[in-house]
Amino acid sequence: MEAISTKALSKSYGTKKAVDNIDLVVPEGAIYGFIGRNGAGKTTTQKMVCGLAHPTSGSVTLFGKPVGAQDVREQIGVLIEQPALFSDLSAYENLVLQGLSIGIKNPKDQAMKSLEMVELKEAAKRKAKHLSLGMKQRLGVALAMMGSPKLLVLDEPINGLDPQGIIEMRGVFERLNREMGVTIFISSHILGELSRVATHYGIIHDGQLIQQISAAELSERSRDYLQIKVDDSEKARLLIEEKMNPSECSVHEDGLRVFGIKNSRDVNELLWRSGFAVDEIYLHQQDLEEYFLRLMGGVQVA
Amino acid sequence: MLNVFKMDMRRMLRSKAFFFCIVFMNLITGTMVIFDVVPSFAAVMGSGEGGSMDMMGSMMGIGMAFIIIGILFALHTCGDFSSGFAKNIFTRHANPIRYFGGKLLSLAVTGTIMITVYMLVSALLLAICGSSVALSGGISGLLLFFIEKIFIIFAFAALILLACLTTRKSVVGVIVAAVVAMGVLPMILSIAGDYLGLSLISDIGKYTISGLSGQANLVFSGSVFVTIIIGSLIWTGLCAVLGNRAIKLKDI
Repeated sequence: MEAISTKALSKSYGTKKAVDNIDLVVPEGAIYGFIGRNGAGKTTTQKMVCGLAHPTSGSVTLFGKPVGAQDVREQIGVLIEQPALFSDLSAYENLVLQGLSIGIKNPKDQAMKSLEMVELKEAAKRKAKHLSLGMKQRLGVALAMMGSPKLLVLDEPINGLDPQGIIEMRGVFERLNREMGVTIFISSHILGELSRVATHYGIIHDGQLIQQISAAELSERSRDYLQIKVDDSEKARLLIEEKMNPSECSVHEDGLRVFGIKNSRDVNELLWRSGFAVDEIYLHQQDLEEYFLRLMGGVQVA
Repeated sequence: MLNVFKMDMRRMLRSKAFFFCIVFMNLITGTMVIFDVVPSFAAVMGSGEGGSMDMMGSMMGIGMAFIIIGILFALHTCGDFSSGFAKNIFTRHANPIRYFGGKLLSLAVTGTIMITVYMLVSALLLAICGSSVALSGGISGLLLFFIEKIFIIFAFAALILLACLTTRKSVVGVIVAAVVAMGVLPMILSIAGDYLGLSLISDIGKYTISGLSGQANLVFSGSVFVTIIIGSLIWTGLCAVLGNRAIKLKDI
């Protein structure tokens, strides 16, 4: 089943179309990375998915039911724009309030469990306004997790976290997803980090969803190649094409790119034996960031 | 609805503003009682039988209490939106009436607590100062007066909720609270009615929230009681319908 499905979802503010005709599909159990530049329409889309913003047209379905249905709304946890906290209350108290608001049986126990999960137990009694940005982010995630929702909608949840915090948060997301089957719809600018956890991606640009792709498909499309710096790139290209039959071989400003061969040792040996001076040879793996930039570049040109 | 009520009540009882408002409200009234500005319980409560002190009573007594209560209501409600916590609430509650109902209930309970404390402190101070604490309508009159005020608190809270949900600005809620608590609308209607020679216009003022509050009296009157209860319910219902609409129309 699809955790989130939108049909021709649009949202306009006056004459500006913030979200334009989006058909988004987030499979149940996925970690869906939602990528786009600032102002691309990520937050507006996420708000509509949670029922916090009203679409101008189109529809949102969660677990097969309209977003207005109370039973599905009880299954959503959110962290959108910034951690939604009462700054004069403690971290623990904020969680208890959230627990009471959603009617869970033991809000105090749940609050402590959520704090433990995001490694904030020691800051339980500290007022939210005295927490660092990273701690507030973690508390925001803990708030979203109260009541064990089936779907988490997180907008930039790792912003402001230190490297250790990012690693811990990644662990939390992976645990929630793998052990508890929670679907996570997450937007982030830290694409390197997103690529470590996401199983699916949606790329939004100027309010339009320009691509939806699974991690497996992305890996297929992001072709790896051997990057070689050699004293005569053109001659080396001819030699490699003749002797090693690569799928593609091309000369660029930064050197030679050989596709379809991943064993750098064989290529290095061939070049060395043929008298080339090899300065550098390594397997280049295209990451999500590069893929995104390439796609965005394409969009801009178009 | 009850979940929102429980959550909101807990938040209210843990806020400094709530205790500050109670202390401030009683400090002012206490000062006035001690300096004999309000010489009787009727005057303190703004009940309609305080003679020349009535105006003073309704403006500075319970009227003042209502301003403070209104400010607290406005700040508390708008705090949900300024903190962003409303996003947590509205994500989990699809029907806005759950929020409006729970919030209204918690504000009304808060207002009732504040008025009760105000009443008790005032009576105690009047007794200590040797002023009149005689109840012209007896205990039953006081109880029914109290019930009338509770219904008015509901209508008052609903109106402030509506103002805050429509504008999301606490300053608007505070202005609405002050306008209602000071009886500005009935006053304007009364002046307009006198000027135009139309008593109907003046009479409309009696059915505003301020007008209904002004009718409450320590001496029980059946017709006044019914008017206040029905009038308050109509105001509460109207604000609930409009508040619900405001939530549905505006993004969180």
